[in-house]
Amino acid sequence: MIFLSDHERDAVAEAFNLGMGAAGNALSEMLGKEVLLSVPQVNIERSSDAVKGMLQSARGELSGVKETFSTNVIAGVREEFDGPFKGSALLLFPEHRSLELVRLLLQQPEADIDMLTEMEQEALVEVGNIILNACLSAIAEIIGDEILNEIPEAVKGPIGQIIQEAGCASEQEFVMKLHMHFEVDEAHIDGDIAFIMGIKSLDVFRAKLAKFFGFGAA
Amino acid sequence: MAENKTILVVDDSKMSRMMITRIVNTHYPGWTILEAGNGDEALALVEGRQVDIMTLDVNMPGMNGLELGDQLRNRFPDARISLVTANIQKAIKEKAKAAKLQFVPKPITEERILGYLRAASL
Repeated sequence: MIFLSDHERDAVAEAFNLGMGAAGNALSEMLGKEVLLSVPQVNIERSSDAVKGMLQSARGELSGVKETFSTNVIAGVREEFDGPFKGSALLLFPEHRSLELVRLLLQQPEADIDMLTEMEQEALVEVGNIILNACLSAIAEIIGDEILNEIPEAVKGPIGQIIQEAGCASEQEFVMKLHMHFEVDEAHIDGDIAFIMGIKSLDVFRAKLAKFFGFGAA
Repeated sequence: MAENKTILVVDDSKMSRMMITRIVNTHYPGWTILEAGNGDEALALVEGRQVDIMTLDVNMPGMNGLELGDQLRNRFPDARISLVTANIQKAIKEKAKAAKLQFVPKPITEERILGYLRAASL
């Protein structure tokens, strides 16, 4: 895990808290229901550690749900971004959780569990687009700069493969992981938002946050 | 009842197009709806037509919604054109304003789209 000062950890959490607030609001509007969100918990890890399974263990500890995040198929959405810092943003769910979310959205409780239909995949990409954009927009507001983002795309497969395909082949790249838990009616849905950045981008990001919140970078 | 209009809906998300067209069909059944999945398709589709109202996504394959809006504004100076996007950054809102494009944030809801259509069809 990468060392963050208390100030930095607070700043990152606050930045994502704003983003998640916007994302929760957007999701609530899409579903027409109240969405309860947990406070986001942030970790920054080396990509190699993340690929080795830290996402799995962190997720289990945080949510208390013992799901094999690394062995189950993960479904989600990836969006690359560029600007003062660049990388990939990922919204990741165990596949059955993503289906649960999509069914809530499409109001199709009887939909086939075996695979995402084209429309379900479209819905998941649109949810991811809105959630990731809400986070990126909140961060853009804080740093006072524009973040350019690419077209969102659906991803599916083992977690290691997804992270590797998002650009994490190098030891110099880091995963800033934000665990989110939200509840809609009876459904409890856990997922992770992961921002994958190189060390230079991560340093720029930390410096921008330090400037905004008025403290020196560690 | 507003007179019959032609509306162009441009979004690479089929679901988003479907949601907007459903709202238009429900509330303005006489309107003509043109759908495109990207900017080039949209420009080809409007060739030789009169279009009154347009909704444009921002992040699309090929040209983005701002570039498309710019081209459409030149062709249709009197049309009501709005970005409909999940990219809710201040910078995008400012660019929309500078290009005389309206801005509707996603998620797409009936309330938001109807609000825009009502104002645009006056």
